[in-house]
Amino acid sequence: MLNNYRSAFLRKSNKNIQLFRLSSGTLDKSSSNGIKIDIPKYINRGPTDILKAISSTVQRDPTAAHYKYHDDPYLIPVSNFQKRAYALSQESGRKAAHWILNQHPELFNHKVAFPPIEKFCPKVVYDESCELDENELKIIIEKSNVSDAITVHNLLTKKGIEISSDTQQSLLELVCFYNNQDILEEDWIEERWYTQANKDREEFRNTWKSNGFAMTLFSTIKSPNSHHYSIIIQGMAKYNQFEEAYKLYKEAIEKGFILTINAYNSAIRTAIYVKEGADHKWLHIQEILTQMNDSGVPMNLWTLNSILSVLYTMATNSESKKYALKTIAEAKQLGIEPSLATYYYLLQIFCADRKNKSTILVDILNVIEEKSLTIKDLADISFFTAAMENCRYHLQSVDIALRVHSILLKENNYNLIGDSYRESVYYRHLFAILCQNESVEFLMKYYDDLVPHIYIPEPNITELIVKSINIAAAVEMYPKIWSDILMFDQADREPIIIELINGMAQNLFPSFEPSIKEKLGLLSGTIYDAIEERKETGKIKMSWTGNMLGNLINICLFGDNIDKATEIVVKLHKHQNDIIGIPDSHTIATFLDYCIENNCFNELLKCIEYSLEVNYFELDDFISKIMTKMTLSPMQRAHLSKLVGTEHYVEIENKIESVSS
Amino acid sequence: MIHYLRQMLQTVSTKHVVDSRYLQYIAYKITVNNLQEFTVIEFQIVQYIKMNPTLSIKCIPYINSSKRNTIRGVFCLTQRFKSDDDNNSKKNQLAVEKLNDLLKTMKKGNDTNVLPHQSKPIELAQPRQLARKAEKNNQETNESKQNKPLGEKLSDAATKVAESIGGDTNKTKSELLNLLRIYNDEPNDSSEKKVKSSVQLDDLISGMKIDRSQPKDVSLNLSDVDRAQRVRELIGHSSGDYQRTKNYKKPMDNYVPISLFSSEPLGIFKDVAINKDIPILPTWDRLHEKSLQTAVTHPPKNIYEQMIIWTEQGKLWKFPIDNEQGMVDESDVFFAEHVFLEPLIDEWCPKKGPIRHFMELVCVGLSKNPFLSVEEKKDHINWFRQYFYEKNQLLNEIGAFEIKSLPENVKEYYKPTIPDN
Repeated sequence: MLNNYRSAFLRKSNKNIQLFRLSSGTLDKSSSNGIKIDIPKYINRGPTDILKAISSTVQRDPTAAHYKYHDDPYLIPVSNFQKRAYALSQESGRKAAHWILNQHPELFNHKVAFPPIEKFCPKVVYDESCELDENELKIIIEKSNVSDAITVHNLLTKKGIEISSDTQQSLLELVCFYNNQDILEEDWIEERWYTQANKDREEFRNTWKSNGFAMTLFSTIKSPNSHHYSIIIQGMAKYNQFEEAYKLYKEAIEKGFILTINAYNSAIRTAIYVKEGADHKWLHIQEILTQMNDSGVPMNLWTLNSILSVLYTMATNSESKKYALKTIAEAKQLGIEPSLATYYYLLQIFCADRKNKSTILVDILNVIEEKSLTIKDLADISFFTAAMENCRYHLQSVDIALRVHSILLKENNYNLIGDSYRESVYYRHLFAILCQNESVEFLMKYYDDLVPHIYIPEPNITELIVKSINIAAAVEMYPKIWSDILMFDQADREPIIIELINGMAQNLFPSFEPSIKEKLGLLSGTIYDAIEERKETGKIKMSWTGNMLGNLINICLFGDNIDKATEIVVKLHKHQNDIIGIPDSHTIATFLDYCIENNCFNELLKCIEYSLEVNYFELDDFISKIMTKMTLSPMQRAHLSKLVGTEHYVEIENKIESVSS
Repeated sequence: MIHYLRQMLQTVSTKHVVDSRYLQYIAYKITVNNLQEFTVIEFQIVQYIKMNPTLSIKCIPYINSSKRNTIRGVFCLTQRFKSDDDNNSKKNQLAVEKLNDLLKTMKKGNDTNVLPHQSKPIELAQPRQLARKAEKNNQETNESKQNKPLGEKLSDAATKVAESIGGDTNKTKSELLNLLRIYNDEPNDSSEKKVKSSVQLDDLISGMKIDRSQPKDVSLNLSDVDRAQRVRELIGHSSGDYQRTKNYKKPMDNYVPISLFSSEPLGIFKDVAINKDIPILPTWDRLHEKSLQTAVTHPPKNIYEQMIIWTEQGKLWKFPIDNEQGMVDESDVFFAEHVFLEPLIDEWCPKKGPIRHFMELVCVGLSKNPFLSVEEKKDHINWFRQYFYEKNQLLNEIGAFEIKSLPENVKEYYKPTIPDN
C-alpha cells in the first residue's frame, strides 16, 4: 500500500521534471527564433474577485425595484414611505431572529457548518463566572465590541489580572474611537442606509462623553505617554470636545511629546471652536503646522482636510480661498493626493459668496473626471450631494449637473453617494435643474429611468415636473403624471393639484386628436373623483375653489365628458358654502354652448339653476342665447321660464323679439 | 414645440378670432426661460398683431404682463451668445448674427408699423419730414458719431441741416430741435389714438417709450450690427431692467479656470528628515479603515453583491472553492497520517491473534473516517490500548497476551471507566 503511494509520488516528481525540461526546451527555441513568449504573471485573486466580476456584468433594470425588495407585485414599494418601511421591516425580522438566538442559545445546538461560522453563533455573555484572561480581551478588541471590552476589562481588574500596556492602549483606542458606546453593527446595512444623518444640524455639537470609560481609563494611567495623549486628543476632537482636546494637546507639547499625525490634525480642527475670528484661526493652524514641521512630522491627507474644514467655517473671509489653494499646493508638493472631501470643502469655501459666483466646480470636475474615486475620508460622501446642489443654486447649469451625474455613475463611484437621505437630496437637485432648464422630453428620459425605483420626487419636485409639463403643453403626459402622483401618495398636496388642474385647463387646444381629448376628459373626471374621495376620508384639508372646479369643467367638456361636468356643476350648486369663489363666466358659457350644441337640456337646466344662484352678470345673455339657438319643446320652455321666473323670462323674450324685428 | 406654436398662431391668424386664451397661452410661454424659443415666438406675436391691429388690443394686457420677461430673455440671450467664447465660437457667432437679424426685423417691424400713418396724407407730421431731410443730409455722417448719444447726434444733424439750408443757421437749428422735442414730448397725438396697438407694440418690444425720433436714427445706421447692443442700452437706461438682468447672468458665462494645484504653497513644510518616532495607533487606524468601508457599503444591488457581503462576513465559501477552508488545525497534516495508522498499534499490539485483528479493523475504519482529526484518531486508538491494558488480568488468565505499557498522557475524555473486578 505504502509502496503504491511512493511510486505515485515518484511519478509525479518525474512529471515535474519533464515539464521543467519542456519549458526550458521552448525557452531555448524561442530565443533562437527571436520570438519571446511572455507568460503573464499569476494574479492573486481574492475570495470575492470572481463575484465582483460577475456582479459588474449585471446591469440595472430601470423597471425593476431594488434587489432588496421581494419580486412580488404586491410587495414592490412605490412611495418613499413604503421603501423605507419594507426595507427596514425585512431587516427588523432578521434582528428578531438574532434576538431569539441570543436569548435562547440553548435551542440552537445543531452545528450548521464546519468549521463553525462565527456569525451564526450566539453572542457570548461575559460575567463574573467566566474564566477570563488578557487574550480574551484582545479578541474582543479585535472584534471592536465596545461594551464587551469594557466589561471584560473591569472583570479582569477586579480579579487583579494584570493587563499589558499594549492591550491597554488598544482598549483606549477602541473606546475613544467609538466614544464609549457600541455602534450599529455592520450587519444592519438597511438601518445605516436609512438613518437620517442630521449631521448638518449636529455638526460641531459636543457629543464626547466626558465621564465615560475612556476618561476613567486615561486617568488610571499613571504616566501617559505620547500614544495615550494622541488617542485621547483624537477621540475628543472626533466628538467635538475641542476645548479639552486643545488643552491636552498643549499639555502634551509642553511635555515634549511627539504625537501622531492624526493628533496634530485633531488639534488643527480645534480651531473651529477654540479660536474666534478668521485671523486667529489661521494663526492657530499655522502654529500647529510649524510645530509639526519642527518635530519632523509630515502632513497627510487628513491634515489637508482638517485645515480645509476649518477654513470652511470661516469661508466668508475673503482670504479663505487663498489659504485653501495654498494649502492644497503645499499638500501637492508633498505628494498628497486630495480626496473628495478636499474638493467638498473647497467647493464650500469658494461658493460661500452668493453674489460673486465661483465656477470652481468645473475645475474640480476636470480633475476628478479621469480618476477612479475611492473613499479616503468620511466627508468624501458629502461631495456629490454638495456638487449637485451647487449646480442647482450656484451655477444653474444643466451641463455641469449632467457631468457630475456621469461621474457619479462611473465605475464604483455610486458607493460614494452616502446614504438614502443624501441620495434623495442629490436627485432632488438634479430634477430641479432639469425641470427648470430642460425640455420635457429630456426631463422625461431621466424621469422614466430613475422614478420610482431609484428616486421618488418630493412634492415640491413633483410640482416642478407638472409645471414643466404644463409649459411644454405635453398633454400626453398628464395621465402618466397623475397616476404617478396617486402612486406616490401626493394627491393630497394642494399646490400639485392646483398646478396640474390649471395647467391642464390652459393646454386645451382644439387641434388635439380626439383620442387625446377623450383621455383628458376622462382624466379630469378621475382627478375630481380622487380628490373627492380623499376629502371624504379627511386626507385633504384643502377646499375646492370655484376656479379649480371651473377648470375641471372646462377639461371635461373638452373631452366630451358631460356627465362629470354636470356632476361638478351640481357639486358647485349644492356645496356653495364650502367652495371658495365661483367659476369664470366663460366656463359657464362654454358649458351652455356645449349643451346647446349637443342638445342636453337637463344638464343645461342644472347649469342655469346654478348661474341663477350666483347671478352672473352675463346671465341674460345666456338665457337669450338658449332661447334663440336651441329649439325648445313647449315643456322645456315652460321649465326654463319657471326656473328663471316668468316675468324675467318674458322680458328677455321681448328683448329678443325687438332685436330680431 | 416652436413648430407647434407657429401652427397655433397660424390657426389664430387665419380664423381671425381672437381667443384670449391663445394669447394667454403664448404669454405664458414667454415666461418660460427657454430663451431661443420664445424670442421666435415673441417675434411671431408681433407679426400676428401687426396683421390684425384692431384685434390685438385684447391681448395686450397679457403681453404687457410678460413684457419684462421678454426683455430679460432677449437680453440674456444676447448676453449668453456674446460671452460664450471657448470652444464653439463659430457656432455662437452664427447664433449672434441670427439673433441680431431677428432683432433687426423686430425693429423693422416696429418701423413698418409706423409707416401706415405716414401713408395717410393728413397725419404725416412735419417733424418727420424735417427729420427725414436731416437724415438725408446726414448720409455722410462720420461713422464715429454713431457711438454718440442720441441727443448729441440729433443736434449734430440739425446743425448740418441748418448749415445746408443757409440763412440764420442758429435759428433754423433751434427750430428743428424744438420741433423734434415737441414730437418727442407728445407721443399721444391724434394719430396714435387711432391705432393704439402701435404704442403698445413699442412697449412690447423694448419695454419703454421709444424716443419718437428714433426711427430716423435707426435708418441712419442701417448697416449697424450693433443694433442689438443699442436696444439693450436703451432698455437698460430707460428702466431698471438692465440692473436686474445683470443678476440673471449665468455664472458659467464668465468661467475663469482656476488651477487648483499651482498656487504658491504655504512653505511651512521643509525637507526635514521625517522623524522615525512618530507614534502609530494600530487599533485606531484599523477602526478608521473599517468605518470608511461601512460608509461605502450600501444595500446590495444583486445576488452577487449580496454574496460578496456574505463572503466577507464568513458565511459563504470563498472562491475558488476549497473544501478544506477554515480547517486550520489539519492544514499542516499530511494525508498519510490520516490513512496509515498501523504504526500506532505496532508497538503494543500482539503480532497476531484476535486483538491484532480487531485493532487492524479499527485502523481501517479510522483511516476511512473523514470527520476525525489525526489527534482524535490517535486518541481513539489509545483508548483501546488503555482498555486492553485494564483487561490485562483477564488476558493473562486466558493466556492470550499482556499489554506492557500505558500510552503517555491519555486524554481525559478517552479514559474508559475501569470495571470493578
